[in-house]
Amino acid sequence: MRRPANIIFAIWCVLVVIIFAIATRNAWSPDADGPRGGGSGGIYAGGPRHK
Amino acid sequence: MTARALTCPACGAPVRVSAAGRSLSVLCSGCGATLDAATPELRLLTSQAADLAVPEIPLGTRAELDGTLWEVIGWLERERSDGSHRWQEYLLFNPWEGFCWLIDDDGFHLGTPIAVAPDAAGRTAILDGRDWHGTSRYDARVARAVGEFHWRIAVGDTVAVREYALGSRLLAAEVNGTEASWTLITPQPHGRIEALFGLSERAPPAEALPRLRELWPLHLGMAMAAMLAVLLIDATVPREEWVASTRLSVPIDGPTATTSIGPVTLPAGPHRIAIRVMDADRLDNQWIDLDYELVNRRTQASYPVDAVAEQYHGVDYDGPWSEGDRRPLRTMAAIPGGTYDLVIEATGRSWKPPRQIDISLGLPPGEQQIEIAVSRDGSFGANLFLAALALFLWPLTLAMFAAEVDDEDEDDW
Repeated sequence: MRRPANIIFAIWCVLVVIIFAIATRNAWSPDADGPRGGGSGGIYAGGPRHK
Repeated sequence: MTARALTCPACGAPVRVSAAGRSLSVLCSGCGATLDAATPELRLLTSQAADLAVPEIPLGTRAELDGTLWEVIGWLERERSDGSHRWQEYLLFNPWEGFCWLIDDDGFHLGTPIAVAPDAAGRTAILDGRDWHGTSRYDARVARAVGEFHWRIAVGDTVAVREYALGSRLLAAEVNGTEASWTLITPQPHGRIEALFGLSERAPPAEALPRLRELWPLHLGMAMAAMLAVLLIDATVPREEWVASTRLSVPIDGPTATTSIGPVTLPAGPHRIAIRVMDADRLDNQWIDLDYELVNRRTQASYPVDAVAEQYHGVDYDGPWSEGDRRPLRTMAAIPGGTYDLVIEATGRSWKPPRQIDISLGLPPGEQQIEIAVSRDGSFGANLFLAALALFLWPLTLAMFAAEVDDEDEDDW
């Protein structure tokens, strides 16, 4: 039971590092605002959100 | 084996004493009376004291375990004194090996008496040079019993139990007054005891939870090693460099102001671009819509993004409030190398709080001066955050769960 859990988590760690390396190499982030990132500024038209 | 066949002086039922000369008491399976096995005539000690029970493995059943033939001579049902848990124990006897226990508690376990008591101090017991960790402490009470035993047994007898764990094995100390007896408890593979004693097949016990206490430090170490790799990769990213800026005068409630910043030169390869409003501190119940467009001078490929620099305040029934970001930051991902211009369109608007005296009434809306700057490269903080989340969520969840288990153990100790 313990050994598969260790192997699965080790694979997960390696995957995270690889995905981070690819994103870094391509200067990509899901958090970017531009069209190549997670989204643009949206449809907000100005004015306070305060109700 | 040195067996004697007798009758119960209380009910006349046949009573078998298998360990004659070693057993001290017998509980009659016919009436539940406790008899003195040390006397030839089985003197009556107490009459029926509890519900009669029929053990799943009948008394007298014999089976060979690891090369030794054992006979089931006694059975008792015990419970925690708070009534939270019940289990059964069979007393096995072999004339040369003595006694051992077959414990039926969510699967079968073999309990072997230990002649030399381990060193126990606090939550640790040392046996054969290895530390056993104390896991639980409780009082165990005899709820029902039948058959013969090598001590004077009575329903209701209570002993204090301390359990220590090492891997899947347990050390149990039963303390009665000043006397402690130690037993090594070893879980038996599912189906083994059932097959040896001719029991019908049982459903396998629920899969034991992995010993999370032992698992999370390793996984946390793996996560830290992976995080170190992530930080090393992040360190290879060129540092953020501010490459161009401009000041822009934006009419409020007037026409759109347009300007461009350039050239923004990017070496070959993908780049992160950040556009920040550096100075718009005089915005006051106003906003400026900013449409940015990064345009490649050679290919005319364009990358748009928009932002709003804004600041609002007012008073309502809850008191004064304010909101808005005067210095919005926008980022673009994976912009290819090349020479670019950043085209900026800025439209200023004003907002008047409802039901308030407008002290600027009659004054021209005026203009706002803002400064906008462009940077290239640098790392995305969100990527680091997501990597840390992906790496540490699991081991930290395990650690929290293990801490809860520890707390429960502490309560049980």
